[in-house]
Amino acid sequence: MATKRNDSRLYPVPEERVLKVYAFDPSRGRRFENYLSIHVPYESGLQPGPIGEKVAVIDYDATNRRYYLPVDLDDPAILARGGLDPSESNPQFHQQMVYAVVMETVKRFEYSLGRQVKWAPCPYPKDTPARGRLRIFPHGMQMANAFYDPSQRSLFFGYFASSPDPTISPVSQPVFTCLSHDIIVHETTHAIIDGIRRRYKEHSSPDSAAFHEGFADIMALLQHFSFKETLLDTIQRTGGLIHRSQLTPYAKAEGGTPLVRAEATESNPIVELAREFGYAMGNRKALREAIGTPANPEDMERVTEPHARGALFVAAVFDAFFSVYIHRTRDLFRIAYPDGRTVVPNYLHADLANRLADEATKTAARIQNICIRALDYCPPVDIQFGDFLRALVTADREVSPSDGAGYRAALIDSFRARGIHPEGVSSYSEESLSWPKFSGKGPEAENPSFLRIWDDLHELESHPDTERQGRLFVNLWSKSTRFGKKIGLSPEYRTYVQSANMLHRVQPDGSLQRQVVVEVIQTQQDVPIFPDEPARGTFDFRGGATLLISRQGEVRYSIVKPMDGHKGEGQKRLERQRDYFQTMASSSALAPYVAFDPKTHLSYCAIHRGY
Amino acid sequence: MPEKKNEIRIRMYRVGFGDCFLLSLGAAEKQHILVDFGVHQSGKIGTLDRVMSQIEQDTGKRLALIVASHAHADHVSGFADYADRFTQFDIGEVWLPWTENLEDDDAKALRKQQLALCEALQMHLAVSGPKAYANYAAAMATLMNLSDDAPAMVALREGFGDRDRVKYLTAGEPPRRLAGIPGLSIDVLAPSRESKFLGRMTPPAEQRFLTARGSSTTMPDLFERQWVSETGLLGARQKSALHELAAVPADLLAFTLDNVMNNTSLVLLFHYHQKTLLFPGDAQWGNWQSWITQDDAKDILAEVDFLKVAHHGSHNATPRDVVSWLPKNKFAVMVPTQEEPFDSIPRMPLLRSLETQSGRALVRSDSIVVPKAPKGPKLAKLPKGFKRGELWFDCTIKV
Repeated sequence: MATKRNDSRLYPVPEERVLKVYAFDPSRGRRFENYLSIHVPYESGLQPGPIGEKVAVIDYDATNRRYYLPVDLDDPAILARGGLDPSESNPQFHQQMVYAVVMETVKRFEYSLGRQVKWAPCPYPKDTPARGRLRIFPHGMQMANAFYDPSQRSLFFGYFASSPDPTISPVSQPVFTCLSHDIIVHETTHAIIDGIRRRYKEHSSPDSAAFHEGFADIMALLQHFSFKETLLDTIQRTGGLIHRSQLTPYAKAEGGTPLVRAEATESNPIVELAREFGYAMGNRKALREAIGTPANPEDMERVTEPHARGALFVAAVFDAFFSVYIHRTRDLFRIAYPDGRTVVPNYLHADLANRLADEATKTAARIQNICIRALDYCPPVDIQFGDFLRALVTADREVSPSDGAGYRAALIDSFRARGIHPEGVSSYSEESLSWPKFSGKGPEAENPSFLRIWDDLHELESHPDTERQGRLFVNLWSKSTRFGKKIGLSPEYRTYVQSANMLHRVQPDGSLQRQVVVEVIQTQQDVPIFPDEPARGTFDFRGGATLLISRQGEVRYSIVKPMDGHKGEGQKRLERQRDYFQTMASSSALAPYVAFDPKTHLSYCAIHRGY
Repeated sequence: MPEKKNEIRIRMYRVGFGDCFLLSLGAAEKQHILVDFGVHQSGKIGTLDRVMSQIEQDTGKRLALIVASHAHADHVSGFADYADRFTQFDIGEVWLPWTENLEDDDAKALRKQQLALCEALQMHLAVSGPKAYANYAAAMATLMNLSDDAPAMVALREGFGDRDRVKYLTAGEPPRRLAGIPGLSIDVLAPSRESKFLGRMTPPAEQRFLTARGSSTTMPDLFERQWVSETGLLGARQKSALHELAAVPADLLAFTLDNVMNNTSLVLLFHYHQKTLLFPGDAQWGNWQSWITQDDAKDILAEVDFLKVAHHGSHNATPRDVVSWLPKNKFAVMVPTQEEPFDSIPRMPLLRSLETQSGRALVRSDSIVVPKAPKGPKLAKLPKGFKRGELWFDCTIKV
């Protein structure tokens, strides 16, 4: 008698699936700490691709116009070995790796956000396969680039031939951006942020352009601290000072010149991003580093290029991270070296190294949490780094009022050291940096539906459809003009509810706090970039508010970007955006021949291409 | 006979789409400086021969200085076409931007990248055909303008028979003087060597991997045959959307390349006794930024008596701030331009604002009528200090 192989009564469905990936990318070689097994949520109905609930890997190569056969991760031969082994020549391993790393990143965000990740709505037609999912093209095209394209709701990973450089590799080799752990996390983060704050892809200032890039780099870098083996290696080779850029060789070179690989100093993989990509481009260094140059308060004034500005943001967060780590591990060093001896790299006691690794991992996870949670407290449009600092302080105070370990203090310090100054804030004290609490709620006669938003939202989450969504928005806003004004919106422009999400937070006392985060947007369309020459292009000027609404329908925070506002705040914002677009229009390399269009010329892809 | 007054005469020749300026300084015995001499392959009007003869006549074959602002054919092609005749000249010095110095490692690297990208783009566009790109013709024209400069640059680097005449200039060096022209000093405002501006002269890095179908850089056999499949999930419409995304924006890249080349332009500020002349080559945004962000830039511009308009009056070649900092009604403007081959050049709002700021002291080279050549606006009345010749406009400034 045949028995069903997969009898659920006998074998409970596993929680996780184990898959192998590169910790960094193939350039770090076959060393054990570069091979990593990661655990992603187990999806029972996983289709070949892999195509799951949230993401769909579609291996179509648009340059060579062909498919590569999709991997079936449920094949026993693959399941039994914990996923395919890392290989550059097997496209199915590439598919496995992008799936695994994207899912890992999604899991990380869901953990911090306390809810499922939602992708930004996408206009593509109904017959599109894998509709509703984030589509991933691991070999999308021949191009030294990888990018998130919101119009296709897809991640595209390019491949290219490295530029031959005799000092690195004498022959040109194919480089796959989909095999870089960092690049995958980076691009996935773009897609996730786009789902949380859809308007952030519209650049309205140097900061807003840099925010997406910087945040994506922060997530990619922080992910490194969950790789235990690499972390231990780095801790040994830096004597616990994991922020150092160089690793001490395993063995000391005779006469100073290294003769074998183990005698050579290496760069610290933990603080650099996309190493193989950077080298393949002939830069002889990783694409970007966590810590570049010493902090200078004038940096924010001088630097305008999005990646360079994003790098300052990254450096600020990592400065705080390493400071907290060093602070938290001082006692361990004192215990291990009570007589104040210098720590000798490669000779740390294994127990000490383990404890340091734990601290680094915990600290990184905490910083990652703080950054991700801050997103819900960010304004809906026109983000400035200063706004992010305020969001971060506000969000973290809600869950950890005392800041015992000094995370917030370190972050505030490092932002200040780089000249990131929130507008309209008089000091860097936590009280001034926190968003002002909103007092009172709208009169119930005017917006009775604020109370019902909770039920509506539940209903919407279980039966998502556009009609229901429209009704929620109408319920929320149609009758509340006066209240709208009170929370900082302009009566002159239509109010549109961009998103509504549930927020679950464990309070310091252990109780669960539930709130709704609502983004409302107002738009002034077609504002000319050059007032006297409307033909030279226009932009949409947006304002709005992020509202945190309690279970009782009370608005607790209204984080506003005003359209008008008192003291002409709105006007000031508009002028600043206009300045930004004027500079962009004038500096565009295409300017002499093609009319400037902020929507296309300031996209992710265009920025990478350097127009 | 009355004593001749000391003056500067700036003569702008009508060459088509290109630049050619002759500065003549002094009283009776004039000294001459030639700034650029070239025409765009797609903007020729057949006057170059006559202009060459005119230059010989105007200078008596004596040139204290030849300046080639940057390596685009529309500024240098004449130096190749008439190289033999220039070797007959008595030439003092030849000036080029440091980016053309083949003994400079940074310059060599820049040049190599530019030419490699130019070649790849030309090949790519040629294979793809005019239907593949919206801006095909304009893109091809800008590429040709770069690749056509080679013989002229060879002649210039050789100094027309004497390499020692050739000087490579860098922003910020001490003011230069010329033997035999007392009262003249020249500031070099650009190109800068500072690393943050080098980027503005470097083609986008990613595009070094640019491919043309069928060229050796394609990667058709990425994986072994066993992994390849002709069928999959996507429908025809979705595939074509992806093909579009994967297509190289070769036309836009050609414009980017044009821009980085223009940003290597030598920007010279001539001081002759109390008068100041600004020749910015084809400087575009990045080049201007390298010096107008400095503290004294506003003061420099407030003193300008004459401006040669950069890049034929195109969109981002004269920053708005620069126009507003020029002294109202106190300077003269010359625009070497023509409405062919680019629809978007010259940019009329820019020319109008310069006309207003200068108090209508502006002329365009294409206002000189040449049979069968594109016609510029008619000039009813010449501005004060200007004169018209058969093939040129003169602007005379008394010193």
